[in-house]
Amino acid sequence: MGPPDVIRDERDDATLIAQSLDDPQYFGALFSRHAPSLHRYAARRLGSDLADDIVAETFHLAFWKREGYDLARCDALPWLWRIATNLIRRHYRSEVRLYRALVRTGVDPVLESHADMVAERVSTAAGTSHLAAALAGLRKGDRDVLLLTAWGELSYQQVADVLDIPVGTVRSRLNRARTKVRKVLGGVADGRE
Amino acid sequence: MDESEPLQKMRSQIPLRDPDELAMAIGWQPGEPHKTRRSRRAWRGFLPSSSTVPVVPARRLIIGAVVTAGLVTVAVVGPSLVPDGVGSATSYAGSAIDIRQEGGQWVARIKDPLADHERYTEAFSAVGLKVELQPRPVSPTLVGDLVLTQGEDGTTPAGTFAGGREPVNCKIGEEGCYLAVRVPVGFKGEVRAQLGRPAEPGERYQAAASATDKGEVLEGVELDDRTVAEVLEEVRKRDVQVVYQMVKSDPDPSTVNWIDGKKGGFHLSYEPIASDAVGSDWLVWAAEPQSDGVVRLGVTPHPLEPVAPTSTDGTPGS
Repeated sequence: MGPPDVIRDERDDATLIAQSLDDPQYFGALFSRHAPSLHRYAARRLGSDLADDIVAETFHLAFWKREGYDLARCDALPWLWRIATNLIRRHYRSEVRLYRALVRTGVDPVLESHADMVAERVSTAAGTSHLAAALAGLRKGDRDVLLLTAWGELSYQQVADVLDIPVGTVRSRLNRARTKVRKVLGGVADGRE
Repeated sequence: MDESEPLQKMRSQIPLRDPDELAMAIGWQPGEPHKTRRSRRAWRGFLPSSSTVPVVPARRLIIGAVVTAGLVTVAVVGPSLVPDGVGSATSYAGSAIDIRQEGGQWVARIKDPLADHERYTEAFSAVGLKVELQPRPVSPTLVGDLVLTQGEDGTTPAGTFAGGREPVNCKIGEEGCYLAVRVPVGFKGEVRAQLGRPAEPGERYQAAASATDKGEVLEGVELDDRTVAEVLEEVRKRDVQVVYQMVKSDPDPSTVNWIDGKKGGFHLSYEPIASDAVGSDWLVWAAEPQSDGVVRLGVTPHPLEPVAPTSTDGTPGS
């Protein structure tokens, strides 16, 4: 008595991937499920233009590699985010440039591509630029962990799967990143900068 | 100072995009070779995207279409072919489908949408086209729409495959009203297309518009923030049978599967529920046509909370 599956899909990711081997259209359901959050994450880190490319490339690569997908893994999120994370890594320098531009100008360059956000841009300044400064100063691995949890909303286990590191390492990197960021933000609160 | 608030603030300024809109904007669809940004731009507004697949209401995925009134029977015993002198015919006329060239396009008019789809394949083949047409039962407003257009290896075929009712907006089933599939003359590849046909009595739709859309069974009925009792009052005025499914929201933000421009992103699951288990004060989430004269109400005892906002002005609850 479920809805007809052309309308909605409740199958898990692994089932969709298996079905997509015969009918590529099933892969579209995987896109619908995961692409928006992945795009938002990539857009926050690199701006929407690069995010467009990264999401397209991620799903392109995933599609062509889908035969090798381990169907025992019902949730394809770690697989897709791992591909995306590797693509995002190519742009670390751009990412840091964006943070520094924000610090310098008080305007978030990532938001400039969104025409409807002019009002937001003006108010961006305050705590955000200090945060951006802190993010620019993090180690790459620590920043990945912090942003996958905060902007990607991934669980520790999902972050561990995406980065292929133990959960304990996720925790320690996260602690280190948070400590460092709080130090910068705390300096702001004390008026020391 | 805690870092989570400024992090959330930065994130909340980035919109969560609708998957169909996103797929089209970045030119992605299953099997489509990755293109550069420049060439992808040229693509916008072309064929719709990725998904005939679930997750989103099928009506957003649809472009154009072709099918016929279907019920116009033409007493032709065998198809008639007009040869072009080089092996394939320039037109085909059979009891299921007519195909002829008109203004640089092949125009196929389906006379019998319930025919074995091999009949269409044979007809296209007779004029030198590799087109596989598969009619699917759909809710009334999707009749004639192409719900899938796919070339070899899942790629989008080159050229424009379109359709529409002829004459425009005519009523399928009435004499002289056709939905026609158009294929560019000179198209060399293979394409598979699914198109909406009227459902038979009791036959379940494989794609449906919203029940409240113009032309569907609950046209004009307001659902937002209304209770089951309120909606049923309207339903009773129309000879429509109701079935229910319960809609639940799981707080798993990683798998948003329903995006509403106003309400935000949701991770929803559905399960059938007997009508006597549904409270009259429950809220109606959505109404979907299920088969002719049957509408399925998605209901929920409590308002559903979005797991992600789509707006740019903050996180949920802000």
